[in-house]
Amino acid sequence: MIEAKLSNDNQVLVISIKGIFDFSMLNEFRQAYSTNVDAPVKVIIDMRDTTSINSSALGMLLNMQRHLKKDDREIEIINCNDVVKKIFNITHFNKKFSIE
Amino acid sequence: MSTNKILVVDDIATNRTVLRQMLSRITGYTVIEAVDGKESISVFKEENPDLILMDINMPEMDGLQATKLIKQSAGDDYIPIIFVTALTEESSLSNALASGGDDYVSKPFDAEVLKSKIHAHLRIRDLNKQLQANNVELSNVNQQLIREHDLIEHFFKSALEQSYLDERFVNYHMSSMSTFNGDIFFAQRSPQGGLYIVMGDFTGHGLTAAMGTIPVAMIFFKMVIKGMAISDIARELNHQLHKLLPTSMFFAATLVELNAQGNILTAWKGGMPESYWLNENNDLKGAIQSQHMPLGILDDGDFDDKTEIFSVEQNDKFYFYSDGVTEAINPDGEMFGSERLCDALVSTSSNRIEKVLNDISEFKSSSVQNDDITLVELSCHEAPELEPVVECIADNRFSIPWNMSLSLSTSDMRDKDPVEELSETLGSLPVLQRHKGILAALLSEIYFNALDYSILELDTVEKNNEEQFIEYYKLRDERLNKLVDASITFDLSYEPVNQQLLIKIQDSGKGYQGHSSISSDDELHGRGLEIISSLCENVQFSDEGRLLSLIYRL
Repeated sequence: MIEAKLSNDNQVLVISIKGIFDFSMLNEFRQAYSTNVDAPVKVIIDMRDTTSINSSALGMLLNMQRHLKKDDREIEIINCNDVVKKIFNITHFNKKFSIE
Repeated sequence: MSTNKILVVDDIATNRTVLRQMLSRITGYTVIEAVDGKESISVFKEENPDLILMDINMPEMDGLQATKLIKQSAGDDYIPIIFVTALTEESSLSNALASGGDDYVSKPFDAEVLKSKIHAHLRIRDLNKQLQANNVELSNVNQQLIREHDLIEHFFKSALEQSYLDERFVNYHMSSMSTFNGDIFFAQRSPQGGLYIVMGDFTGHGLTAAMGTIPVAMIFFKMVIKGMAISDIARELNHQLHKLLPTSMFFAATLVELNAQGNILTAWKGGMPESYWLNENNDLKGAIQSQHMPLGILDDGDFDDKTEIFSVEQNDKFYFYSDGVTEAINPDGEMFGSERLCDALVSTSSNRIEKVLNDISEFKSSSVQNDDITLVELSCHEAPELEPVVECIADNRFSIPWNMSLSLSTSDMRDKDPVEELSETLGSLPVLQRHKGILAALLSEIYFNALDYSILELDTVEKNNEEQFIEYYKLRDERLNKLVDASITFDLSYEPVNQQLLIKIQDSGKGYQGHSSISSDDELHGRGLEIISSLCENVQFSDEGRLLSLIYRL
């Protein structure tokens, strides 16, 4: 399940991902960052409730980065559990994204 | 009815006899005698009479002195002493009453008057006895109450001690706990480094209000340790309090989380006064308003867990307070109010809590009133690294080897997420518990490789940009729906001696042994094998890529 929330000043979009993050969330995830996206200067991906991810999710994150980079928006990935962190490290995503 | 014992004190035997005869005509009285003041004291102590008729002028010790001593020794017990005297001068009478006597009758006395006076004083004595008994009971109840307050204080303090109270982040003032006022404040950090605060106010005072702190503290600390979202904590608190509390009781509360980077503040607020938000330059940047009803009122269906998100900067500060702050009253009956509070906050950049408290006490000046004030300051900074949690691993080594096999048919692949189910099942085994998340990631990689590339033959489909990526999953759906007679089989063997899990996955497709190359870091595919080979050893394809075997070390 994906939930998107704007900060009260519309500057930050927080996208929370619950469960296993993979392609089954593809449309939901795309919708979360492509709508609401006129104003925010920063997008935060909150993974506190993300139990695991696989390579399809990595592709989805790259898609998002390309989409948002066009307008120079900052992306931060926060609250990753150890499993998610490990996979980001293995795939060197920690160099491409700002990961807490 | 018990008889009343009346002590007659007189040095003249005739007088004693007259009184005795008169009193014996009234039912319910027994008469005892003493011949002077001195004897009256010892008789009083031995016989414990209910009323004393006392002569004034006697040898050895006069009635005034005896009265003083008897009253002293009676303490809180009311022992009525009526002087029977020939004295008529007012000064002597007032002397007699000043020594502790309760009344007098003048000789020669009227029997009816004496009778009614005795009767009246005995009634007072009965009332007094009743009062004494009530007092004892009251004092017991009071003792009980003090013990309960000690308990509340103990509980609250130990909960507060669990709190994360690093002064760089959290400063607070709470009124003393002599009577618990229902205000609650806890703070804690999550494993991810986020700082959580709950600050609120239970309806009522004392034990009733304190009862609620127990579930609040338990739920708050438990959920923060798990790093759960503010909206989930709010929902759970509401659920439990709604279940536990009587209808008349609820919990107005502010729940906030400052993330580890110190740049996002998430808040849920119900029934609390607004919280102020200041930056380094003492500008009021905004306020967090209550969006909801207090916790514990609505049932799950009506409850709204919607939070507000604030994009904050380093050194921004938030101020949370109970209504005791704005409702402080001065001698003219005026309230301190939120305007004075804001003025106090923006007037200084250091020690704002102290400033507010000073302003309030100046404002109140002489007016005496309760001091139910809770004021919390949260400073936004990047969180310092948490001490790494030393994982306490129970020795879950299972000494018996086992095998497990799972065959998936076409419909299993189409309708369900078999990997999620499989990893849930494996994760429930003690020996694999700690590996659940990684195993889920690993199994998902090998499963989707087999399904997507070997069975659905999607390995040749490009997914280098977002459009292709979406097209890929569309195509995947189509092929999956048309799929007939395919199978994927997992074989898992646990080897306790080597502490490893042997994993084999066999599919009925055309086979897949990896993409030819990963051309750049930006490729949207091809990371699956990278993940697999980093997590496992001995990764081997066989049967033209239809069988993959690997070893996962535990």
